[in-house]
Amino acid sequence: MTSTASLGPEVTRRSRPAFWAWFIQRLTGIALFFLIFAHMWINHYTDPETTIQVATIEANLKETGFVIFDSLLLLFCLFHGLNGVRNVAYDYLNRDQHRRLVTVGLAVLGVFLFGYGLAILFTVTGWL
Amino acid sequence: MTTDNVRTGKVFPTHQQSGFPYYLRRTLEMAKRPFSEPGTLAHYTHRLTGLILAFYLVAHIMVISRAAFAGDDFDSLMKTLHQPFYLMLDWLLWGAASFHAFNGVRVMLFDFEIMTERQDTLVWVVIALTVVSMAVGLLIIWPEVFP
Repeated sequence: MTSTASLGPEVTRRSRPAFWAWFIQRLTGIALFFLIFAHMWINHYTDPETTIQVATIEANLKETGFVIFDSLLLLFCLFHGLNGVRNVAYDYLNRDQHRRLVTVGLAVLGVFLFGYGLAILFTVTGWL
Repeated sequence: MTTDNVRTGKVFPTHQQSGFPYYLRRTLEMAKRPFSEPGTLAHYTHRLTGLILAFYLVAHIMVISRAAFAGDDFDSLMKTLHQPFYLMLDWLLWGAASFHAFNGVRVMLFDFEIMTERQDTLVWVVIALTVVSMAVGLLIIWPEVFP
């Protein structure tokens, strides 16, 4: 059972990081349901006869909307995916030190991949 | 309440005691639960597809970045990945993503205590939606795989 009493009376249910991890996991999940469908539709369905080409991507990314769309997709995917891996790891690890190691490791990986992904995006748009 | 670890001298709270590796104990505990329950099957499939998708996400970013940074020809890379073998892998990935998405909705309904008494039925709804989604995906890639 989850016990909030052991954390002290000043710690409410919603101030715990576990709540926000759970909540944001749901929010990003709902967003990704539509974002990934749109991603597949735009990149792979609008013209299934030919493969996606650099020219098409560059033309698309001239619009700021596409850049925002791709950035959000990257951010939400990374959070949802890496937090999901963390959830699985927490099911099998009981020591705080091990859990912290996994959390910090995945956070570092996430921040790196987000920066890396944005760097790719801005290289294609020519902002970098 | 804390307990000493005799061998290492470290002190851990009771729920963090060492001994038989916790992850193995936990795996055994979970394996003892009835696997045939639709909810349990959906839970493990959700977990498996989630891990596959998380791994794919990292691979996806790395492969796309090769073309942008390493100066590889992006268009020829995409042509390579358009071969039937990769399209079939993509189709399986589409299936995994579909199941994960539809089952995610079921998980959220369960979290907010909506239709909990019908959750077994919802598993079959999720499976049906996944099958439909995969069928549509197969129809789309069919002319590419079998020209």
